[in-house]
Amino acid sequence: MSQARSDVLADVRRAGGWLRTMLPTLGTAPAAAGASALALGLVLVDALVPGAEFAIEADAACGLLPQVDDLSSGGGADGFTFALLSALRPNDVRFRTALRAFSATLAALPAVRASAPLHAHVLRADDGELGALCRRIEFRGVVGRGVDRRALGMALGARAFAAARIPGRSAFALQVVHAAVAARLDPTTTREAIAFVRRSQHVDGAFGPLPPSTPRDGDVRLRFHVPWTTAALRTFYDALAREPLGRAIVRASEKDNSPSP
Amino acid sequence: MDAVVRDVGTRCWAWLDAHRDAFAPLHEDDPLHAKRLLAFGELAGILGNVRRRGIGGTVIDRLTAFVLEQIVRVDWETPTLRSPAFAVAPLVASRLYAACGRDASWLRAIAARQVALGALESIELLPYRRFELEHLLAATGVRASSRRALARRFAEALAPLAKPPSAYTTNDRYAVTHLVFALCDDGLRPAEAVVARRSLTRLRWLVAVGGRIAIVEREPDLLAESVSCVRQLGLDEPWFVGAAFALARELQDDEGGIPTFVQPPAVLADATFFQRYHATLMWAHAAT
Repeated sequence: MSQARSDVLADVRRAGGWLRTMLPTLGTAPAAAGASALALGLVLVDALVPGAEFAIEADAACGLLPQVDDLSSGGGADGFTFALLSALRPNDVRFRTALRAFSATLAALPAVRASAPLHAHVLRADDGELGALCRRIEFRGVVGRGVDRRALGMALGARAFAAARIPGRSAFALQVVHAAVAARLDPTTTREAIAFVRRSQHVDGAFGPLPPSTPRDGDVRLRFHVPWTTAALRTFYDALAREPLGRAIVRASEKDNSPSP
Repeated sequence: MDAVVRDVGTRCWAWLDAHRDAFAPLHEDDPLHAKRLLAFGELAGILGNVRRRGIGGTVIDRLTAFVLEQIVRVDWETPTLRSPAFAVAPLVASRLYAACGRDASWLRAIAARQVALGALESIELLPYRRFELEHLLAATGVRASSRRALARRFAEALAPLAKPPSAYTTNDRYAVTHLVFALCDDGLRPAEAVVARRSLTRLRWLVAVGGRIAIVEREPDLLAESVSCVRQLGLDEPWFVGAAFALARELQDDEGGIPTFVQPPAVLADATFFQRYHATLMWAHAAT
């Protein structure tokens, strides 16, 4: 195993250790607040760290999530996170149901082709436009010549690293680098993106640029650090796994929707 | 694109020519002496590079004659010129002097004296400035250096940049461009003459991404330096160069000057000149 991969997995294990400590706090909070993000985070850690070290906690977190009826009646659960979980827990009917609910949305996403005009657009688009493009990239991937794909990766990297230097824009930066990593556009950009994400980890294993509590909002770990930690873990997963999560659920959705022979 | 490059460059050189008196180093007692000396050194450096590449022209020749005339008027051994900010000043001046066929031995002697006294080793310099100095001492013949020594200094200069660009300060971003300038001897030496090609992968990426960040953040000065780095490293970046010059033309004023920062710093006694000279000079260089 390369040193770089080993270092990232150490960070993943640390994050898993922190998420594990957050499990008991769910009992005192509404089911929706951080529960699905916590479950996804622990499932990602379980998928990445060998030896089933976090299997029990991952199963326990999934067990705390709403049942199918609550999900279909809009009981506050995070349908999108459930859809992502379907790639890692394909036998869970809740997650498969959520994926089916998203399949039309995923199928409607246009393909992304790397090109000079797209590269220019990335550098000039407003945050909303770029966020939408990053979602397409994450789920549809990018086709095109290698040189255009690398240029697109560098353009996304430039937008992300520029945003990361401004207070309050780290979340946007994370979204953009995640897209570049998930689409595997440029090896150097991926390495730098991972380095950027790693730098936002606290000593206790949580990710995110805020302290555990703020004067205005009190304890923000469930509402802020859990989702942020899970977003960081998604970036690591998409860099290390054989298939990025977004592409995996699109593939599964297309297979589910394809006509029977 | 060539027409845009020529237009931006021609107008930048015209601005520099129109403001050449502002580059003249004033007496040491003048409060703007150090600032003008810095500007003068930058102009001498760019002209030295242009002359070493065999490029001339009416405006460049006139500016060169002006700088050569000023060089002999400067007292190169004042406390100001012995400070870290001006460690390379006599070396830069000597390169322009020699490129114009003049005897630069007296300027080299000033630098050599500083080397003999150990003065250059005891001043505090950022790692990339130390690499620049090592390169210039060798390039001017003041102090020999081996490829291995230069490569080692380069590695030392690169070490503080081993972090994602999200964590870069403004100094770090200029360190990248200045490392390239020194490594490539302003375009007159391939980078591979000093370090192995495989060691350049990240530096090439830093230049490409750093330049794009400068487009995103509308930073004309860093953008100009990035364009020169792209050329000196031989990167294939036609879109980036085109986009960069398009931004330069957009920001160029009626006189041909380009602001160094889009948000200007605190007003100085000669605000327009100090707000524009550096970026205008860098764009003139990038276009030439």
